[in-house]
Amino acid sequence: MTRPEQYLHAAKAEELAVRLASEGYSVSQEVRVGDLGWDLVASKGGRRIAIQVKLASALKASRDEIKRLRDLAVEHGFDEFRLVVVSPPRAVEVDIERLEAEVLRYVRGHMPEELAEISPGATAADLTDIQVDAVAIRREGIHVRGTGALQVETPSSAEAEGARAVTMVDVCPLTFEVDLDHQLRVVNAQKLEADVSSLRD
Amino acid sequence: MRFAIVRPGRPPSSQSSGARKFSARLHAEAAERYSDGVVQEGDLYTRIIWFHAGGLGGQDVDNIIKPIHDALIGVVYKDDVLIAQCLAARVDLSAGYELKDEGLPAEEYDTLVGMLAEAPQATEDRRRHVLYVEVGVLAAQRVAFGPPDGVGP
Repeated sequence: MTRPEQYLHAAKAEELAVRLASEGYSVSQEVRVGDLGWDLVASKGGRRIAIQVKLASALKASRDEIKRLRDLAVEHGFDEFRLVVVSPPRAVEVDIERLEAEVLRYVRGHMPEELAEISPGATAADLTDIQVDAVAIRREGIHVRGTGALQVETPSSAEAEGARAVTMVDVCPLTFEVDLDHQLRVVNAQKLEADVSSLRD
Repeated sequence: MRFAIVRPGRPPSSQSSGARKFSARLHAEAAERYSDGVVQEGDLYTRIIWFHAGGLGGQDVDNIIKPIHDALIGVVYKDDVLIAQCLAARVDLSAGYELKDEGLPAEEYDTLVGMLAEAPQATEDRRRHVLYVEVGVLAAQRVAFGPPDGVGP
């Protein structure tokens, strides 16, 4: 399993454990019997359920294992074997030419208030790791919502006092909702928020 | 006794051109599998589950019931008027789902898991759909309210 798949698997098992516990079940995680094991075992009032989480993409290759886990549950007197299939969100490939540079250009001219407040004199040096969450393409323009990692440069107080220039570089997550024209230039931002919580620490 | 069948293929809508052909095929498959006629008398229930890996094509779940009920006449029951309760469900395989094994013999469970595992990767539309049909005798006229099978929000 890749790391995102491991995360998805673990997150689903945890979500189920919480849900079953809220329903009054006593829940054990990663219960092993010999070389096999279930992700969860839930019991309530004498009723026992063996639960296995599988990624949809791994279901085909796991057929024998699922059969063995189910047989094992029957053999050990469980009342139910439950297969929980989890699917990652469907990936959509979106590529907007020069989006990082365009959002960065816009940010430079419209520094988010919270950033200007916490780091007076800060400038946006770079914007990387852009993730586009939503795109709406309309006749009047293109609306893009997403996140990125904004590199912020701040001159140190020593520089301000004329001492040796030192520039501090920080990174903070940026959430944006911007409008692009048909030349893919950012012409307006409906939202431009920098998460400065790490800078406050 | 209880009748159950798992098969690949998109269940057609009762208004579609393929409904009659589908009913005939399902009838033949059911007859081959249950040559003695498994459910004879009494009030019956049907449980119809349509698993699909995308590509619904705007098809309603309620429209798939009649061709299935019609198909089982003469094999599973004498007349579909005996069906007193019917549950039809649609399950999107591209989203997550839970599959309990209670009430399903091991062989059918394995067959179902196998088909569900294949469906999302299949390129042919008929392999991207799996139909499960179960018919049994109702033990009592019990009325319950709320989401079926205890699946709440």
